[in-house]
Amino acid sequence: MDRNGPVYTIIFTLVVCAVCSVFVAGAYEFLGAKQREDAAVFRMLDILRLTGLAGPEEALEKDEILERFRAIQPKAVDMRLRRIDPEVDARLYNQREAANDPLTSFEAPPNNAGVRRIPDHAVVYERRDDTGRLEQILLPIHGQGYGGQIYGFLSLGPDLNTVRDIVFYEHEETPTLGGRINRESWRQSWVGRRIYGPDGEVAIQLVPEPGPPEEDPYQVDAVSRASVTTAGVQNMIDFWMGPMGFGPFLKHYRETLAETGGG
Amino acid sequence: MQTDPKTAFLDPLVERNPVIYQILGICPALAISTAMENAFAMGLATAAVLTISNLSVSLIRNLVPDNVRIIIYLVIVASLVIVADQILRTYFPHLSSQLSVYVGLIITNCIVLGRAEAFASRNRPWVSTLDGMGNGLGYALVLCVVAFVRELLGAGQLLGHQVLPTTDNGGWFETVGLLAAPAGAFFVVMVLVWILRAWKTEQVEEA
Repeated sequence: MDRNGPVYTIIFTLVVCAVCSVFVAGAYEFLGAKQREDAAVFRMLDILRLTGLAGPEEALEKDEILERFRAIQPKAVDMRLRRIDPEVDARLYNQREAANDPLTSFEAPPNNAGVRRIPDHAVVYERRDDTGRLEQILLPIHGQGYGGQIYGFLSLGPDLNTVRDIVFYEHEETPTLGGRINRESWRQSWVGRRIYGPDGEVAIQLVPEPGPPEEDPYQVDAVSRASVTTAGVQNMIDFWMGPMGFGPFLKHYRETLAETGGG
Repeated sequence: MQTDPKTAFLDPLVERNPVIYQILGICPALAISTAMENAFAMGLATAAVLTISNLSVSLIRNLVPDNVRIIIYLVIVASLVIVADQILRTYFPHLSSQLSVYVGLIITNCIVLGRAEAFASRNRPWVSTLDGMGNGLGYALVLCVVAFVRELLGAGQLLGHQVLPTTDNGGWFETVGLLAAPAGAFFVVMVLVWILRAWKTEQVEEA
């Protein structure tokens, strides 16, 4: 056959493309699983740091991460039914990817937090003591700040109301102003405050210079000189703790925990 | 014309080096050569792609229709680059995130397509493989030398370890900001070209 004729050229090109695509597809097929697994391990390390099970700069091997992560239980919350969904393997679930995919998320109702889509499932992390009682639960929260989206976790105690800690692991706020949301002193001002008032509604407010938690349980320090960041955090808490976010789930889960003695 | 295997491998290492003799592949050489670790990984990835692409192109050199030969070479190179990128991502995620898009951009490295068209499409597979290896390692060598100078003088470090205490941390070494910037790589490459031509005077072009 003529090496420069049209038929040969087309056939040759198709064969080369087919062979090449086998190699490319093979690379994704054989290497993709390990990549996803490693990414999941990195997320686990983040969670360990948030729960204080690993130091902020501590470098850990994969086995050590997996070993320490046994103290943590990830659970997938069905965001439509507002219940824990045992069918979903929360360890392999990527919430942020899911929220970006129309097939695995739904449109958020209008809100001030700048949240456009809610993932079908949100992953919460529980830390339990040796007897299996809930000590701490980490709830993923995110919303619009001054410089961009702020991503973090709100950590609640076993009453699913008292704040244990708050941390923002990704933000683009102005350093030394809104960026202080990650300062130890500001985070400390959250400890012991309550999210929900006696009527079950979100009651916590960011205000300048509140008293200690015993006096002002529903008030927490605003980020001074960073009003947009403060509003962003407030909106984020209102949305994710409210009826459109984890509110109904936490209410139901609180009842479940009371029935089973926290187990 | 057939090149003998020894010349095919040894020539491009220094004397006919792709960067400092052929002046090819300068762009990634500038971007990646700030730290030796990056330069080493990038050099090896390029060398691997170049070796295999030269071999593949040489194997099919008598079957490729002339009209579409360049795009066929590109398809092969692109596939190899994707595979190399995936391997880096899987086994060296830290390096891969530092090299970012530059691994993917190996496909635009003129050396790869240049050797395919200029050498592999006319030579036997074994010689072409050696030529790819020689050019790839020659490229890696230059990247590492440039990165050595830039990392040492630009940041006072070698392979990420602080070897010269910088003034920022109370030491005596004032870092050379110019070398840390991309333009700094130009100066280092220029000095290498100068050294090569002072040694191999036949490479000097007539003024």
